[in-house]
Amino acid sequence: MIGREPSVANPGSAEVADLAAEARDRVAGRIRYAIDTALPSMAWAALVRSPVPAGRLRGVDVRSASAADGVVAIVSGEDLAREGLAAARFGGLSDQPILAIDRVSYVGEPVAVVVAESRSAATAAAAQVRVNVDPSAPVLEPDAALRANAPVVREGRADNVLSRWTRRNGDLAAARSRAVRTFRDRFSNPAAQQASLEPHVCLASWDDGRLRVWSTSQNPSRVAAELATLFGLEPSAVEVRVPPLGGAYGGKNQAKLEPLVAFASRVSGRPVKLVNRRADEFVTVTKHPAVVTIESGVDEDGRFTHRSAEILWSAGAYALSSVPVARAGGLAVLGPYRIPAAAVESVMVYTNHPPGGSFRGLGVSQAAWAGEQQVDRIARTLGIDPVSFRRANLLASGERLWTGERVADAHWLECLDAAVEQLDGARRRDAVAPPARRDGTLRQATGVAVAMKHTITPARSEAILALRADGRVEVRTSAVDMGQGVEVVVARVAADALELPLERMIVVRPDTSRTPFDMTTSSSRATFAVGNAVEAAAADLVDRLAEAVSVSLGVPPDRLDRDGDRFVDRDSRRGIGLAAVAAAAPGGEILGRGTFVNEPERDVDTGEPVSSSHWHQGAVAVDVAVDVGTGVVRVERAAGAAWAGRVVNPPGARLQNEGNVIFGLGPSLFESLEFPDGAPDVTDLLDYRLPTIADVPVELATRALEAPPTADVPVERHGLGESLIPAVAPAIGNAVAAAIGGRIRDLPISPERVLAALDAGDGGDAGGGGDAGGGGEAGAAGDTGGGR
Amino acid sequence: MAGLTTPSSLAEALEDLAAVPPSRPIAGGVGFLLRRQLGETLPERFVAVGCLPELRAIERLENALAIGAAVSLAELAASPIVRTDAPLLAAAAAAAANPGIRTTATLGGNLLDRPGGSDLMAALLALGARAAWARPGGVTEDSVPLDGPVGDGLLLRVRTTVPTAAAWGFERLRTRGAGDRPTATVCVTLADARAENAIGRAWATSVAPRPVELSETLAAAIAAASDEEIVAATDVDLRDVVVVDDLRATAEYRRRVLPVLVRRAVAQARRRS
Repeated sequence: MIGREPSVANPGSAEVADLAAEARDRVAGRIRYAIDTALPSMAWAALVRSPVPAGRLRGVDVRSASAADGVVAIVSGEDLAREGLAAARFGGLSDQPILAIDRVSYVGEPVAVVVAESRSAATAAAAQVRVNVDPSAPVLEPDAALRANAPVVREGRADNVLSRWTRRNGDLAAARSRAVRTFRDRFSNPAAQQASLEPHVCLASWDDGRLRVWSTSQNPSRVAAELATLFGLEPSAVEVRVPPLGGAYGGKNQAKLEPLVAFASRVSGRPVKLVNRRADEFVTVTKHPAVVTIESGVDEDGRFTHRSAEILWSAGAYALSSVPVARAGGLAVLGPYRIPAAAVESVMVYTNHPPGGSFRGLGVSQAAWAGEQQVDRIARTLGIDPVSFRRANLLASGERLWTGERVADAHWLECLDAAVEQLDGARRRDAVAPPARRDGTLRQATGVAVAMKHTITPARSEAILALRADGRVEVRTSAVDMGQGVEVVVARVAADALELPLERMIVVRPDTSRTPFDMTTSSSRATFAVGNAVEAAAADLVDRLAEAVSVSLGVPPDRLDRDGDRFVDRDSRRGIGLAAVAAAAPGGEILGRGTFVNEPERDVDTGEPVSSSHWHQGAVAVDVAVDVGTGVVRVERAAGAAWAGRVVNPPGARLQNEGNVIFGLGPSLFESLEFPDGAPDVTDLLDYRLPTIADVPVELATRALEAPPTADVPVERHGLGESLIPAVAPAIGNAVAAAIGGRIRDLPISPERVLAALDAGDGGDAGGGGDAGGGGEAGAAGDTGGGR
Repeated sequence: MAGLTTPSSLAEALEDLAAVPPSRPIAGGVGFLLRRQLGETLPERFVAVGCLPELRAIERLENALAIGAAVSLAELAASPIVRTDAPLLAAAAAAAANPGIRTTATLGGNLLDRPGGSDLMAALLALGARAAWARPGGVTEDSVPLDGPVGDGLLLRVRTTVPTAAAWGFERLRTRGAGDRPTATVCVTLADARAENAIGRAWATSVAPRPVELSETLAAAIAAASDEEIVAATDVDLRDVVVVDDLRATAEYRRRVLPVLVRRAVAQARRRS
């Protein structure tokens, strides 16, 4: 068990993780989340939001609301202008104002902040604020955003294209001419909501020019930097603290509430806290909807001659993570296969929707839904087993990705074999599987898919290990624990590197005044990048300890041996304990500092930087049962295998993999968020259907694959937060297609779409040969569309 | 802030409901909580009726089963009397919502709050149940139609004759494994289920604002009609019905699956007979 420091009541102090008890505390409701933070004289905020998707903001009438009970202040764009912040912008492309000013760009955009003595008073007063808008024609569909006469969502831009990521490799025209069969398909993904149980929360307070923020952010270092820039502060004048999160799934990966809460606090002169209601979450951040058009050619041996894809994404009204999403999806859409010639164009456009942000899988799920379903369609059309087809085309280590870069460390084949093997094992264990419906209306089949996802490259993580006079070690990083167990990971890495018991590690939670820079806890990078920074900090700490002992004992460092908790002089056997070294140091602690930057290596042949310092790799296999009378799909068994390299915390790795599959069920089967007339069609968790425990396959087997330990080759630790998710939906889609003989191209795989695909017959797979004709085009035309 | 009165007798409850309108009776409170969460305006006054003994009983009478309106769904599902004498109703109660809701929600709330969306309503209609109401002028006979208009007063109990039809089928279609309101629910009861001319009742909920009787569909299913014939029969049953089109499913989908559910419910009933 890892030790615990007394619970800190004052949120001004960094809290310390009690790792062993954390799971029990989460279940029992004892974890102190951001929603539990409070400050003396704290006021509450409620937001006034835009009622229309687009329009000129003429003003905000606060007269009635100002007179309401308990109102402290009402803050709007006029205050931004008065404070010289009218032009201040934040976000992915610095395109987002603190509050809407002059114009509104989506239904739900914050227009004003009501600050009051209580949350209920703030909410009641906010309902009395009148927003005066001259509505204008919105841009609600991405293809409409590209039309020549489309209204421009972001003023000052020539058009609605937010980003365009393109990559080509090889001679596509020549490759097309070699193809004996060509397949062309169109697949779509709707928007979705990250739907962490804990909503976005922010508490901000100003104290003598210093800004202190408690936030549900996944990247406190970047939020602190953005706040400093927005408010013209020295970086050291902003402190961002992050208690444990109740889930995030990418949705808390950029600044969102922090700027407006900080501003409201500054204007009102009070600490201000804002807690999103569930309905607010649906207009705070969403998953990017995407339409993917993909073409593949194969030769007579069933090998790819080429693949190409076009992806059109809807960003919503502000950039947030849209640029990396378009890139990530573009990189992944063609899959980890040997592809001699390839081209991808991934276009992100502004629309008048709530902003799209990071969503677990960062654009790769949208891409894999298309790429991996088409792989299956090709195999079935050619009469090749889909697993065999993949095995024949998947990359091996040292081979080139479609971009032309060499992949040194490829394990997709192992992942695929492990997933299939585990599914077979699950079938053998599942002796009490329900019999197929007697009237023959239940059809069962298997599907597989693989996933590849980059990790942010380059990115920086820093760590500080502080040996204290009590002999314990504080592990200071800005990695955010959102339930994924990163605190356990960094503690274990530190303990192993220092050769000290885990019980001696104390994890300090993110507090930018105390914990060092970390780019972000996302992209499945913390185990890898923060882990490496912790290892570097451990090495530095050991060096500093040796230096201090050397001075203390008066012997050169190279005469010192480590003997458990002590350094000893190899000759005299005189020694000194670690705690004593720290006690004698200034401040009563000795610090080791480590930094890790995953600079992209350059391809040995081309000299070009690689797209990702390593690839998250996984495969999923599922058995589904489809009720052909009602169209309801049930995942009966699921298996997944992800490449971990080195597992740090086996229970955590297993839970991450299982969580991947369970999380992936939602967008596959249930979740959808649409914006008819610009407003979300769902604003609560009764209608927004997340998977429940009753939807989890009874047989769910996962494996984190590791490299055999070798003395001279360091094996990288891979994060496991997203390795399987992108494969879940296409694996289910492939299984459903095998079961019913019709392919569904639009997520989610709803009962209505299943029935429509059944009606369409085998048009999805049997056609599609030759020059992209037949069933492929029929499918692209929407033969499985309609309904939800 | 809403007011709450806690009468100690049925008479007091009726007085409270009449004295300070618009008061609403409250027992489990599940429907009101949901409405509050959805931002709807709630009544200003509630009259707590959940503890009144007249509303809490499950009684096996000589030829009838009487169930108080404040019996919880969990109690219904677990009751040996209900499981023996009206297993369809017990099954419907056991399948509703989730364990937490079933513990709190009551039969009366379930029937009155969303009559068109209540699985228990479909089950009780298929069982031929009727209701008794406590009105300002006295308690009615146990003969008030369940799917009729709701007047003043308090739903007291529902009553069905026993033994009920020996064979029953219950088909509750939902997309998720748990926690969903159904897309459609069909309840069927059959007398002499194995006979080609079996007589029965079929009711559907969650497909329209009110419960829908599917007598033509049932007859076609009993007669093992062709797919086309049973679909045509459903069209007849739905000819005056505005089928719900919502986030769970389109009206077209609901129309399509109703014949499937009825056919399956009949098959269930025949297996049980």
